[in-house]
This record gives sequence, C-alpha cells and structure tokens, in this order.
Amino acid sequence: MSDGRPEPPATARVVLLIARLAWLRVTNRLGNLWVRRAAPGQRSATPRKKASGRLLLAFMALIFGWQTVTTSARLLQRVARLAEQREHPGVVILDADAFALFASAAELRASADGASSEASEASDATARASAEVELERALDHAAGRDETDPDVAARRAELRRVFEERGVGGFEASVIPNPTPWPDPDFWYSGADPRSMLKPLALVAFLLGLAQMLQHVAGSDDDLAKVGPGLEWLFSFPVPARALFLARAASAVFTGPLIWIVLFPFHVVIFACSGFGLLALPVAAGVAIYVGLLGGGLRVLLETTLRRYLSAIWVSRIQAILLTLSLLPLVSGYAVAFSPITSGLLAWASGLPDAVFYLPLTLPLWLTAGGPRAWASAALGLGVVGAWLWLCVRVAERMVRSGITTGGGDLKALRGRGGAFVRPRRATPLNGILLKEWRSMLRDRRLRAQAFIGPLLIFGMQFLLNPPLVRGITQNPRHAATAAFAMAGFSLTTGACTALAAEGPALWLLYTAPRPLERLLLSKLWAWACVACLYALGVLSLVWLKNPALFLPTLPYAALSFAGILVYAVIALGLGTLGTDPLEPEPRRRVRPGSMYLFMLLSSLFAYAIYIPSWWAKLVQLCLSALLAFAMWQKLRDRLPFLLDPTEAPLPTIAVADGVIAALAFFVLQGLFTPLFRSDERAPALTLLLAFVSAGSAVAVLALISFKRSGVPELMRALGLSRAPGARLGVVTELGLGVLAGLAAAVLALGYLAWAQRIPWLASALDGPASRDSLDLEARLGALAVGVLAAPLVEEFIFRGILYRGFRRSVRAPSAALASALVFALVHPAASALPVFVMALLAALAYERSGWLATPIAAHMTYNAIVLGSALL
Amino acid sequence: MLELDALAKRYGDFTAISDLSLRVSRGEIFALLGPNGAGKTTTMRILMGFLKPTAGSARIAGLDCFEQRVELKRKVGYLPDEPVFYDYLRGREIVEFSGDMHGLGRDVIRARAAPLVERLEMGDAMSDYAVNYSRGMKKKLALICALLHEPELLILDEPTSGLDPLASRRLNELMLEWQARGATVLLSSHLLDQVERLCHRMAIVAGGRIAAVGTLDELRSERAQGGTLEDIFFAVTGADHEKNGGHS
Repeated sequence: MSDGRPEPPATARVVLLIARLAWLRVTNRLGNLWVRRAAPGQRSATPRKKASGRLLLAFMALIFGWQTVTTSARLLQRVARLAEQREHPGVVILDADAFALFASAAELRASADGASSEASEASDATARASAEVELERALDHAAGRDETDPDVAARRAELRRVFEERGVGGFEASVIPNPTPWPDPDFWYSGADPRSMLKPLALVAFLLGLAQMLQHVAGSDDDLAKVGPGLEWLFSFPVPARALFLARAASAVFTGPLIWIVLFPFHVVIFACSGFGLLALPVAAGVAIYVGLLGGGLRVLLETTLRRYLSAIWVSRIQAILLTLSLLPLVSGYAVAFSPITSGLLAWASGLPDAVFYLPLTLPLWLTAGGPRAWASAALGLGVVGAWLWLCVRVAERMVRSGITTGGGDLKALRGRGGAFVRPRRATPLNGILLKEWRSMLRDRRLRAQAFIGPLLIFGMQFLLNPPLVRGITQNPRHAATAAFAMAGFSLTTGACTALAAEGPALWLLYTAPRPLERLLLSKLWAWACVACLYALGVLSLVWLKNPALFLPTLPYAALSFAGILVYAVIALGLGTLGTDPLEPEPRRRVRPGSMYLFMLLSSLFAYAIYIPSWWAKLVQLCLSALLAFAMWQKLRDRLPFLLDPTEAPLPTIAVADGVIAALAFFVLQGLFTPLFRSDERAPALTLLLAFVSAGSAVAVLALISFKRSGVPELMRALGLSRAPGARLGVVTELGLGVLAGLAAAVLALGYLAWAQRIPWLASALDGPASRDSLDLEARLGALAVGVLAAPLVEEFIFRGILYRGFRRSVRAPSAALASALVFALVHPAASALPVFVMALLAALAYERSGWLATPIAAHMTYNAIVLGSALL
Repeated sequence: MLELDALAKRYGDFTAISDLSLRVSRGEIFALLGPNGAGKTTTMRILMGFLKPTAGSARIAGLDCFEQRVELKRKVGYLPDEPVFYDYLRGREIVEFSGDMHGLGRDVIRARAAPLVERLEMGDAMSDYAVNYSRGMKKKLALICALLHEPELLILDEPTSGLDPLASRRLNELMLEWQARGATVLLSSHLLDQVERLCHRMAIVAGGRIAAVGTLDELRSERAQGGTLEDIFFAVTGADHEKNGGHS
C-alpha cells in the first residue's frame, strides 16, 4: 500500500527509540548538566529551582556503590575462609596474626614447662603467666574480647579447648589474606572444589537479584493498577504491541533502582576476585543488564496480566504486597552477605545442592569457573533471557488484545457507609492533620504496608533466620536497645521521611490554612515519632518478657534509644522534606530515594553509638545528632514557604548546616593532609601544623567561595570578618574584651587542671602524648604554634563565624552561645571538654558583643597561650 | 482590599507577569481576563502566598501576601483551577479537615457546610472518595472548603470551568450573595458573558501586563468603541494572542 506515507518502524528500531527515550529521561533527571539556554525572547518552560540534593544524590550513589564494593570484598574474604576451613576439617583455620600469637603462646608454654625442672618456682610461675597472657591475646584476636557476648564466649572456649588438647597443631594459618576494602584476587580460594566458594555467593546473588526484580515490579514510579499516560501514548503510534512491551522491558536496565548501585558492584567484586582483572567491569555490567532484563520482563508480564484479570484495587494490593516482599530478599541478602553473625547461613549455603547454580539469577556465577563451563553458562544465560523476554512479551500481547485499559472498577468508597454529611459523628480525639493522617494510614494500603507490615516482616524474618541475633538481643542490654532503635528507625524511614511527599499535589490545601506549614509538619512528626517509639517499646517488651532480669540494665540504653528516636524523627522529616519535590507529578518520584538511604546511613551511625560501650561516644553522637536535627529543621523552615514556587528559593544566609559541614570538612581535610605532609626530615609537630593550617585555609576559602556564590548579603560582616561600620566599641576595646574572656577562661581552666590532677582517671586522661616529658623542645614549640596561632584562627572562623552565626539566626544569643560551645567541647577530648566549653561560651558571648571575629580569636589565643604554655613549657 | 504595586514574577528567563498594578476595593466583584498564559493564575498564586513575587508588592487587607501569608489565610478563600485532593479521603472528611485547619469547631463546620452542600447538590457525593470526583465535582468541593471560614476575599481561579449549567448558575448566585454580605470576589474567567453580567470591574491581562482596567462602560469609552466585552477583549489583547500560548 503505497499512499506516500512512511512505513512504521521495525521492532528493533522501536525498542531502540524507546530505550533512548528512557535513557534521556534518566539523564535529564539526574543531570540537567548540559542545559541548553533558550534564545532570548523565546518562551521556554519554567525551569525549576535547582534541586539542592542532586550532588548529594550522586554522592550517595557513589558511597552506596563503594560500600557495596567494600562489603562484597569482605564477604568474599569470609567465604574464602569458610571454603578453606571446609577443606581442612581437622584443624582450625586462623588468620596469620592469630596463628602467630597461638604459636608464640605454645612456645612460651613449652619453655615454661622445660624450665620448670631446674629453675625456681617463681620464674616458672612468671613464664606460665606470660604464656597465659599471650594465649589471652591470641584468643582476643581470633574470637573477640567481649565475653558477655555468648557467641564470642563459645568461640573462645572452643579455641581454648583445641589449644589445650592439641597445642598449636590444632591450628593452621590461612592462605587467604586479611580483609581489605577493595577486591583482591587472593580472596578466591582455589581449593579442590570451586563450588564450595560459589554456593554462598550464589545465595547472596539470588537474594539481591530477587530483590531487584521485585523492586522493579512493585517499587517503580507508576501505579501498577493504572495504565500510565506514557504507555497509553506509546500505544497511539503505529507500532506493534510486542515492540512496545519489549522496549518497556529493556528500559528496565536504566531505571532499575538496585542494578547499578548494588548488583553491578557486587558482581564486579566477584569477577575481579576470581581473576578477571579489568574485564570484571564489562562482565559485571553484562550480568547487571541480564538481571535488569529479567526484572523488566517480569514487570511487563505482571502488569498486563494483573490488570487483565483483577480489579484495580486488587492490583494495588498486590503491588503493596510485592513491594513489602521485595524488602525481604534485600534485607536478608544484605544480612547474609555482610553481617558477621550470619556465618552459619553461609556455611549452610555451602551444603546446598548443585541445582542452585541453574537458577536464572545464579547462572552468571558459573562465569568464574572459566573454560567451557563459563561459555556454557554465558550461552545458557543468553538463552534464558531471550526465552523469558519472548514469553513475557507474548503473554503481555495476548493480555492487551482487548485493549489496554484496566479490568476492574475504580477505587470506590461504599456509598452511605460514611453517613450523610449532616449526621453527627462519633467524636474522635483527633482532628485536623492527625485525623487525616490516621485515615489515610488506615485506608491506603501502600502506606500501611510500608509503615506497619514492612518493619514487622523484616524484623520477624531476621529473628527467624538468625537465632544468634535473638540470643544476643535478649541477653545483652546494648543489643536490645540497638534493636529497638533500629526497628524504630526503619519505621521512620518509611513514615517521617515521606511526610511531605504524602501530601502530594493536595499540598495547596495546607497552604490555604492560616497556620505555618512547619507547625503542621510538626504534628505529623509527632504522630510518626509516636509510632516509632511504639515499635521500640514493642521490641523492648519482648526482650523483657523473655528475660526479665534484663529490665534494669536495659533502662539507660533504652532511654538513649528513645532520645535518639525523637532526634532522628526530626532528621527523617528534615531529610525527607528537603529531598522532596512536591511539584513532581509522579508520587513515587516525589521523594528522592537518596535521602532515605542517607537517613538509613545516619541512623545506623547512631545505632552503632548505642551499641559501643563508651558513654562519652554515645553522648557525642547524641549531641551531634541533635545538632544535625537542628540544622535540618532550620533548613526546612527556610524552605517551606517556597515549596510551591518553582523558581524562588529562600534568601541565602549562614545556617547551622553550613557550620556542621565546615567543621566536618575541616576534620576530614586535616586527616587527609597529615599523611601528605609527613616526611622523615620534617618534625611531626611541623607536619601537624602544616596539615592544620592548610586544612583550615582550604575550609575558609571554600566556605567563602560557596557563600559568595550563593549570594549571602554582606558576607564579610555576616561572618564577622570585617567590623561593623558603626561599631559601638573601638578596636582596642573589642580586642581587649576578647583577651579578657580568654584570661577568665584560662584561669578557670588552670583551676580545673589542678583539681583534675587529684582525680586519678582524669589525670591519666589529661596526661596524653602532648605532655611535657614525652616531647622534645622543638615538638613542644610546634604544638604551641598550632595551638596559639593556627587553631584560634581556623576554629573561631568555623565555630563562631559560621556555626554560632547559624544558631544565632534561629535562637537568642545565650542559647546560641551554649549550643555552639557544646559542639566545640564535644569535638575535643572528653577530659578537657569542660574548660574548652567555658572558653567557647565566653568567646561566643564576647563575639556577640563586638560582632567582629577578632574578639573571639583574641580570647582563644589568650586561652591557648596560657593553658598550653603552662602544660608544655 | 487588594493592592498590587508594580508586581512582577519571572521564572528564570521567562517573565510571567511584569509591572502589574491594581486596586480592588472592598465589596467588589472583580474579574481578571486574558488569554492562556497571560499571568492570571500566577497572580492569584502570588496573592495566596504560594509564589514569591520577583519584584513589587501584593497586599490584601494591608497584609503582605508572602511575608504575612499565614495571617492572611484567615481572611481569604481560594479555589484553584484544578483542585487536587488526598487519596482515600471522602468529600465530607476533606471539608471537615479544611474546617479543622481553620480552627472551626465541628458544629460550626456542619452548620456552614450543610446548606452549601445542598445548594451545590453534592449531598450524594460527600461519602465518596474525592479523588474519584469529576472535575466539576472537585471544584464544587473546593468551593465549599473555600467558603467555610467565611472569608473576606474570595480568590476564584476559573470558577465555572468544568461546572454544569445549573452549578454555574448557583455559583453566580453565591458570589452575589457573598458580595452582598460585604465580601470581595476576585475571579478569573474565559466566559466573557458571565463576567459582563456579574462583575463590577475587570482587568484584561495580556503578556503579563494589564492592558485595560475599569468597568465595562469605562472600557467601552476608553476604547471609543461600543459592542460587547468580547469585542473589547479581542481589541485589547490583539488578534495574535494564540502565539503567546502556554500554561497560565
């Protein structure tokens, strides 16, 4: 039929076109890096304001990917050790250091035994004692120190038994090196049977792959129940349905959330360790694409089939269930791979039948075997993915033969069930936003699944899979409190993080109310914090039921957990809200997954702080988290009025968040620069000075540039770098004020030091490496130079110039001074925190009076000159 | 009641409105007319404090529309062009929610909403989920929400679009009633005959600027031409206004 119209494109071309479209969407969403400017005068679409978190998102993806690399490398090392141990059933395989310690303990013991016949009993006892000490060190190294942990205790007992019975002959040093954060070909145990290495990896690969597939089906952007406008549009073109479905499946490769940040790095590590070298990158990419295609096919299959046979409401339900289920393999995959207490599962996996390798998701692991087996598996994989896509597309095609609309009815409330409007209703204690929230939670299945079923399922599964975990939680108060916090934190991730996103396009309704939006968000926050606290309380109650003796010892840790939950609820709300684009029409894209991952990362830091024994570290972590929460809240309040405006952003100012970032950057840079400046010719003190000064100047320059670029008005004045034109006090008075504050703080500090000398533990903590006897004169002078000249300049700029200024914007001077001084004290060693706190407080108050940074710098210099001088000279 | 002074809003390079000055006195029904993309909705969103003006100022009853937006909302009722509501909430529950947010007691909400529901014939629909409403029903629901707190100024963005003829008539009656009670109404519309019948004064906006403002008679005499508002509209906005197309 030649009517002059062009022929419709062929299937392959359609797939290519649609894949290109998907790629464009991804890059447009990620980058906007190469935005072409419209010609002047031309009407262009309204450009959105810059998303503040884009860089953060990219950074998070990098961090996440890198984290997968390091944890996978560690996993491989563990699997290799396990495989080695399986091949040597008669002996205990230890790492080389532990083995050396056992060997030296055995030697000491032998020499003690040999000596006992002739030498005195006293020396015999000493030799035995030193053998015992060496044995303890060996046990510490090989099994861990914490004997309250039943697993550690059992392992220690077992190692001790082996040592007593068979001496060093019961052990053997491993050929596998100690874990490193990057892949190492030596992590591959090439013993007799490659399968003992591969089976545990197959378990992890299977779980992660399954998680990716389910996530792609249920967790993607659009509602499974509705034909998206995109698909409907595509069907208006003169191309066969098969091509459209194939393209849809193929575009999964770009859009699958876990493909490039989890599966790809995981496989890179496997192939790199198994000897592929740089080839590991393309091979792993191939495997990631393979898994992505399997998921894309499944999505096409399910969406068409479900819509054909089920009503929309059931499709939504199934999507909610699948979404919840997708978390299971992800979490358990991570748990199996990366948690040290799950070694049992890895060992169990080594005993699985060979059939596990013939599952589509584990097939690619055969590539590591090399030779014909690898080629066979590659061919088989291609066959599998081809057949799977063909099947899915054919089925999908059949399903849309009678149209692409949904099969069932719409979401309908039962008429009359709610009662007529005028009828009086039961009174509820809730109203306004809480009532609305409560209703949506009861009715919206997805929300319910995420908030209630998800955490329960995940933790329930963990408890089932990991009996040692349950034992740890019910026997150790720190474990119990950590578990309670983890559970609560997880519920916050799905609840408080999405508080704003849940409002969606109906947000305008909130803006028509005569209340500040932050007040409304705060009441939502309370609701979610209460839910989270209930979760934590639930976990603790179970622990206490199981082990009532734990009640009292758990209380302080539990209190810390609850404090953490409140603080982290604010952080979750802040991160979630800052990462939310309420103008984004598609609901699932409204909140950036990066902010949720970032929240998980941050809250896991706090969980770790509950877990570690040191109370000082706990306090520091709690205060820093509270600081972060404050910074978040401040940013949030700034941003809220502009949410509905696509282009306007809050007036740039100096915020607490900037202070936090500057302080962090300073510490990180200092850590980075120290090894750079270290050399044999240079005194360590000079190295320290150089690192300190360059890190400080770098932070100062970067801060100035970034404030300048964001356009903070009257920057120099705002930072206290220039004096106010109409300054009330003269230069001399302002400097004198600082010196006076420094003197006062120094006098108090000297008193404190004198007092501390009489408290033994404080004295030993204060008598650190910088004491006068341990250093030569040059080193002491260097330390003094850092303390008196460099530190005040840098630290005052960061802590008073930025951080105090940030606080001051939201609270009054005394509170701002207290808060900034608290942070300043916390980044110092515990023993000297008190005098440092006083100094920072006085410096901040003096700064408030003068408004010129020179004042607190003078205070700090005076203080350091007196206190350090008296300690060092 | 309403004062706009040299108001301007730019989205990046694009100027949505520029140098828009306008005064609306208490008790007026005032219409904003103009082709698509003229800046009507942008103006209204600035008035609601959703958007921050790039330059100039917008005040309602002496309150700055952005800086004092929270206080302002107590006096203003807003009907958006395309109201969107929460999933899984019934019409009745959304009305209650709006009332709650304005601090009204349940009895007051019920007493005020019931006659509105009846007049707009929404009784049957109030127990359905609002996301399933048709466009006209959503507008009626949003209108009920906007009137609950008895605002002094009503901002209605294309209030009759999507409404059936009966509901349109009811809406017109409502506007006149509210005006009689002393409220001010600012509406945007494409229905020129409705505006002609209902409004005291009107402004024709084109390309982000006010092209003409006044009563119908003033516009006629100013242009030195008779005829309908439609004739004046085309004369003022120019025949090529389609070129300016885009979203308003």
